[in-house]
Amino acid sequence: MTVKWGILSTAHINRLVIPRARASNKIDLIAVASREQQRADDYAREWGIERSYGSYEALLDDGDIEAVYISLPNTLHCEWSIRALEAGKHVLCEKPMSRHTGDVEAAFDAAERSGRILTEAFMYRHNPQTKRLVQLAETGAIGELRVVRSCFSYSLYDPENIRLRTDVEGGSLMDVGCYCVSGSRLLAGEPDEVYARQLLGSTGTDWVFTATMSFPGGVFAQFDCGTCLPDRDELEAIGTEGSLFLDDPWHCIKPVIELRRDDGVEQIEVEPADSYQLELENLSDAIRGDAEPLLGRGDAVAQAQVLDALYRSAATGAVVGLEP
Amino acid sequence: MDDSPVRLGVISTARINEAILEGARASDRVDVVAVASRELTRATRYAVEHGIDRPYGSYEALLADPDVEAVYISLPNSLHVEWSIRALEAGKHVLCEKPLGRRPAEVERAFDVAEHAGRLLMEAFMYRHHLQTHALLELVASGRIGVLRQIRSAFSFRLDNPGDVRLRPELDGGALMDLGCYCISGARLLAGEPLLVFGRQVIGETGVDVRFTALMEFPGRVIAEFDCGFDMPYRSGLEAVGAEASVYVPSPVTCRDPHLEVDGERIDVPDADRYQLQLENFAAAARGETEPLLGRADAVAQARVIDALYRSSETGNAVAL
Repeated sequence: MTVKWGILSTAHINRLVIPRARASNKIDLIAVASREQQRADDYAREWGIERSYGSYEALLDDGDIEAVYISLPNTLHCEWSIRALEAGKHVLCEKPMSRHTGDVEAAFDAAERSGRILTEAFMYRHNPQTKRLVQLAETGAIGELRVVRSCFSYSLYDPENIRLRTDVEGGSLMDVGCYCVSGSRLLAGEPDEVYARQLLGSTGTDWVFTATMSFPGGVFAQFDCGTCLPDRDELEAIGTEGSLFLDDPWHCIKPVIELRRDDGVEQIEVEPADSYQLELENLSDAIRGDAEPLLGRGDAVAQAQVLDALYRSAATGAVVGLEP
Repeated sequence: MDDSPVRLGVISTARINEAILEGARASDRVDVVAVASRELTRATRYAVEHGIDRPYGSYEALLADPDVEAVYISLPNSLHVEWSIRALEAGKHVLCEKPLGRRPAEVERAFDVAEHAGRLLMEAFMYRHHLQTHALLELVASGRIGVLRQIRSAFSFRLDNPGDVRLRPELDGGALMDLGCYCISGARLLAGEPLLVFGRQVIGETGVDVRFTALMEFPGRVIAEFDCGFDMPYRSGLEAVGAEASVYVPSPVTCRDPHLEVDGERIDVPDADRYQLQLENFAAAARGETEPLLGRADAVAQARVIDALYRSSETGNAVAL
C-alpha cells in the first residue's frame, strides 16, 4: 500500500523530489504546505498536488498524511521535524539536519518518543554508485584505505539566497561541504580530529571552506567546498593498492567508478538510478516495516558533531578533537 | 662572453643522475667531466658506463679537481647542505637536488657561503624549468581562472624497499621531503608564501613519514591542500581553483604529455627536457648571462615551510609563519 506524503515548503529542491515521488508506486504525494495559502494553492496547481495548506501546522493536522518531506531552511529543520514527529508523521528531513548536535539529538528523541522514523535526506547515499563504492573499498579493491579527497563547489552571488544567509545557517559547509563530510565518514568512520579554514564572504557565510580530518588508523580526509567557486564535484578514496575515483559522487547523474591502480585504470559502470526516488522509497518501505531506514540517529548525530567541530576549528583556528 | 660548456662534476652515483646526464648530453652548455663516489671502483665503473672522463673515489677528490667548474649534488638529503658548502668553498658552482634542506638556518648558511665565495647555488626543482609550469603560471596570472582560491595537489607512489635512502630518518628521508616538497613548491609558486600551515603525518616502520597531508593558508585566504606518501599507488596532479574556473595539471612534476586542462579544455604545451632546461639555466647563470630561476629566497622559504609542517605534525597545532 502506498504511503501518503506531504511536503513542508515550496523550496527549489522540491523540483527534483516531486517527479520522483510521482514516478514511484510506493508513494502518494497528496499535500504541500507554504506559509501563504495563495502560494501553496499555486504550487499545488502547478505540480498537480491534491491538497494545499497555508501553514505547516495545517498540513501536520491532516490525518491522512503519514510522512512529510521537510525542505525548509536549515535553521527550521529540527524544529519542524520535531513538530511533525509529535503530530505522528514520519520525517524525511533535508540535509544537513543541523549543525547543532543537541538539536539533532532532540529530534531523534522526539522520533523515539512518538515511535516514528526520522531520517536525514542524503540522497547520494541511496544511489547504487555509492553502495558500489563502499563495497569496492570494503572488499579490498584498493587495499587499506589511506586518504579520502573530495570537493563540492558552485557559484552563487545572490545575497538573498538562503544558502548565503547567516540567519538561516547557510554557508558552503552546510550546503555542499556536508556531502564531503558524509562521504569521508562513510569510507573512513568517525574522525578523531578536524582542522578547518574558511573564507567568509560579504554575506557573512563561509563562501569557501577547507578541511583536513584525521581518522583512526592514520587515515586522512581532505576536502574543499565553496559557493563562490566553479562547479566541481569529486571524490577519491586512496588505498595502499589503488584508488577509487568518482567524477560525480554527489548528484550521481552519470554513475561510474574509476579504479586506478599502478597497472592500469578500470571503469566500473553502475546502473543509473534516481537517488531521490530511492530515498523516498527507503523511508516508505521502512514505514511499512519492509526495510530499515538507511540513515538513522547514529549517522545524523555524528554528522552534526563533525560540522560543529569544523565550524569551531575554523572560527578559533584551533585543531578540534572529537570524542570517540 | 664565455660560451664554452660549463665543466660539471657529479657527486654521487644516484639513479636521478641518469636524467641529468641525459639533459647534459642534449645540451652544448654543459659537459659532464667527472663523477665521484665513495668507492673508486664504483666511480670508475660508473664513468665508463656513462662516458665520463674522470672518476674519483671521494667527493673531496672531485672538489680538488681545478678543471671542474660546477657540481651537481644528488646525495641523500641530509648531506645536501654540507656538500654544497664544501663545493662552494672549493670554488664550484652548485646545483643541489631538492630539497636542499629541511632546516632553514642550514639553507641560509649554504647561501651565505655561496655569496662569500661568489659562486652560484641553486636548488634543483627541475619542474620549475618546464614550459608547462611557465604556462600554468601565465594562465593563472592572466586572470583566466579569476581570483585564485584553492590549490589541491597530490604526489605519491609505492616505495616498498626498506633499504631505500628515502625511508631512512638519519638521512632526512620521508614523504614530505621527497614528494611533498613539490606540492609545497607548486603552491608557493602560485600563491606566494604561506602564513599558516597545518600538517599531519604517519610515521612508518623505519621512522620516517610515509604519508603526509597538509593544509596551508596564503595571503588573501588562498588555501592549498596536498597529500603525499610512499604507501599509496602512483598519483600526481595539481589543481588551481579560481572564482571563475579551475585549471588542472595531470602531470605537474614529471611533465609527461605536458598540457593543462581548463574547464575540460585541453591546452597543449610544447614538450621539453626539464633537466636540460635546468642545466642550461644553471650554466647560463654560472657564466653570469642570466639570473638563476631559483635562488636564495625560494630555497629558504621552501625550507621554512617544510620545517613548519614537520613542527605542526609533531606538536599537533597549526604553525604560523
